[in-house]
Amino acid sequence: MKYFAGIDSGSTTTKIIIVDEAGTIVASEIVLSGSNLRESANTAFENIERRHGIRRDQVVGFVPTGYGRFLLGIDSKPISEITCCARGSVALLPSARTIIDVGGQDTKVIRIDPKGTVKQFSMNDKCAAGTGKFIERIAVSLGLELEQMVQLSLDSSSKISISNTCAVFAETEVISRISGGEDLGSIVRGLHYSLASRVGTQLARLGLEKDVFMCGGGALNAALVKEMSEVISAEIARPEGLDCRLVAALGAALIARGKQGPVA
Amino acid sequence: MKKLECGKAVSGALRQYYRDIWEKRPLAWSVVSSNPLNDICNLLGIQVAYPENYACVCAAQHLSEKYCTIAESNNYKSDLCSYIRNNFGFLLDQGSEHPLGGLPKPDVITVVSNACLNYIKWFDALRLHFDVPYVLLNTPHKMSQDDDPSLYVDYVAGEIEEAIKELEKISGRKVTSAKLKETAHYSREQGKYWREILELNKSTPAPLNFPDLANLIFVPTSLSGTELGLSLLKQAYEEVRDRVKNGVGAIDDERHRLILLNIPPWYRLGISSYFAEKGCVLPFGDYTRYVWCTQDIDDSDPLEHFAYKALGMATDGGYGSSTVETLYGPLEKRIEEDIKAYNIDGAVVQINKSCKIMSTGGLDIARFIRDKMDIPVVVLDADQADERFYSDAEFKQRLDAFFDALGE
Repeated sequence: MKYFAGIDSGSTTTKIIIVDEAGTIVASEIVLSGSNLRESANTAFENIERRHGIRRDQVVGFVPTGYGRFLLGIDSKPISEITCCARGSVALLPSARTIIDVGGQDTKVIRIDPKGTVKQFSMNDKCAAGTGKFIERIAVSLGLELEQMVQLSLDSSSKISISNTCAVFAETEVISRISGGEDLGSIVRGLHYSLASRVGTQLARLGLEKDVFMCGGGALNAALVKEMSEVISAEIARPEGLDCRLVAALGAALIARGKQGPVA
Repeated sequence: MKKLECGKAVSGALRQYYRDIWEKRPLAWSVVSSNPLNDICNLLGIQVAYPENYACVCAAQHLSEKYCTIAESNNYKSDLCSYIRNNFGFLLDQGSEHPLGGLPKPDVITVVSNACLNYIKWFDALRLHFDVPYVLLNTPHKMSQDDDPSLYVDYVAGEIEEAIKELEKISGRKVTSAKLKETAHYSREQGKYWREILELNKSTPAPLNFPDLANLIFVPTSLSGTELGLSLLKQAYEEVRDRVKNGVGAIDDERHRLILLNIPPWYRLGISSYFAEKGCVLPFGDYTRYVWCTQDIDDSDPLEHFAYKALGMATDGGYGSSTVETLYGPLEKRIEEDIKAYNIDGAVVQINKSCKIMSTGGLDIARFIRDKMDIPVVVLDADQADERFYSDAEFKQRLDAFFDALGE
């Protein structure tokens, strides 16, 4: 049996997906990237072999993607995360035309054609207040788990506007709101809304075309997806049966396989 | 990428120019764009140093982090143009070695109010720093591209006459009408050759890539109104013409032709080799096409020629504070025409933190190109001369996706 691998070497995690000749996902792994990206990729491969019995020599095609794509020592042409994310998204949702990928380090909005080819894209890789790090950072300062943040936001019927445009100063603003006796749920919902509206601005610049598909770690956050959906006045689909963080790796694996189309 | 043969002569002129700045007197520190006083200074034997150009040199030498930090520690806010912060960082970093030996203290400062909204304050701060004479050419701002500059010509010509008197005092020489006419002629002819070179770059393959043009721009800016400048540009023109005749391109395997909008990050001009690896050439940029020598200005009356130059006729492509109505409408039209004329199939739009004038409306232009011209566009975020705002990984991440969208 021949296999194809997509390796997404990201700032926080390294993701690998293995597909077979039919494009069916047969294995996936997510490991922390740490400081040595090549080592993380090797660890992910070792996990694949141990857990799924797929040896590296059975993998006949690789495509590295993500920020670390040039650093993995893999003798294959690296493909940008944007292209891979587009290909992976259209494989999971063929009607997807707009993709929102909220990651830890950046947020991408991508417009694609029916073949999954990138038409246009916009990236926020400068402002932490527009990425997943924003929520993570404030969760830490509030002493809450991310799951608790999500639940607090979903349970809240009101939201308090967090006006600061900087992730660091927004943290100060949150603390002062709490000291002022404001409701924690409303503050947390306000934070999710604040991130959603920043991504909404990014999306407005490109123009929205339905269907909207969301992936990346941010898509795991149901509160963020809910606020985002309200901001853009559109329903948002997410990967079903696949970790939202694996979409670019899936796209890379499918590019390695050399064909497109729905995943079997 | 193939270098121009005349590049050696241009580099030689650049080295000589910096030697002269140190060895000859008097010396002016001057605004480079739209400033006819540079031509007059060259005529009077006043050496002219350009802090704006020198800031690019500092950035290219990767000193912007050091200089900008020093300037910011001395109350020059980080929101200011990075040319200004590099300049004051260099000035306040005395005792260190500086690129090309630095810039010596000026005997006079000249500025034209049309050059850029920031520059009046920048050069005023320089005046206070050095406590030397300050010659300001005050020029009215046009409200739109349709404004008739001839309404202001007499006023500006009068301003230039007054400025000449001041500069004569500093140089100890006199401007004769014959010399003024000759200088205006060189200024006009330089503009003609520059535009001819840009016209030749419409050819496929493009004979010049953006870095070639960015290096060559030294000539019509720093050697404005000089015989040497004219001879170098003529040489460059003839070489470029031969390249076109022989089908020689600036890069080996031209597959895509891109437009570059905004001032490039001077510390990473080498990124053009990343483009070249993908078969992308940059034959056309707004910085090289719409900022310098954009129109022919009659030189039969030299004072009028220089007045029109000061009024932004040379920089009348939609940029520059010479026109209040900067980025909309007229610029879209020109870009549309040029995208067709240069056979452009992709656009690189930089949002430049330093330059509000060139960046305001940048996203609108990006949208216009994407939607109306239906070609791939990539938007990059960086700063022209502050390397702290540049990330190689982010640039390449965006560019790789853009190259994918362009196709093979």
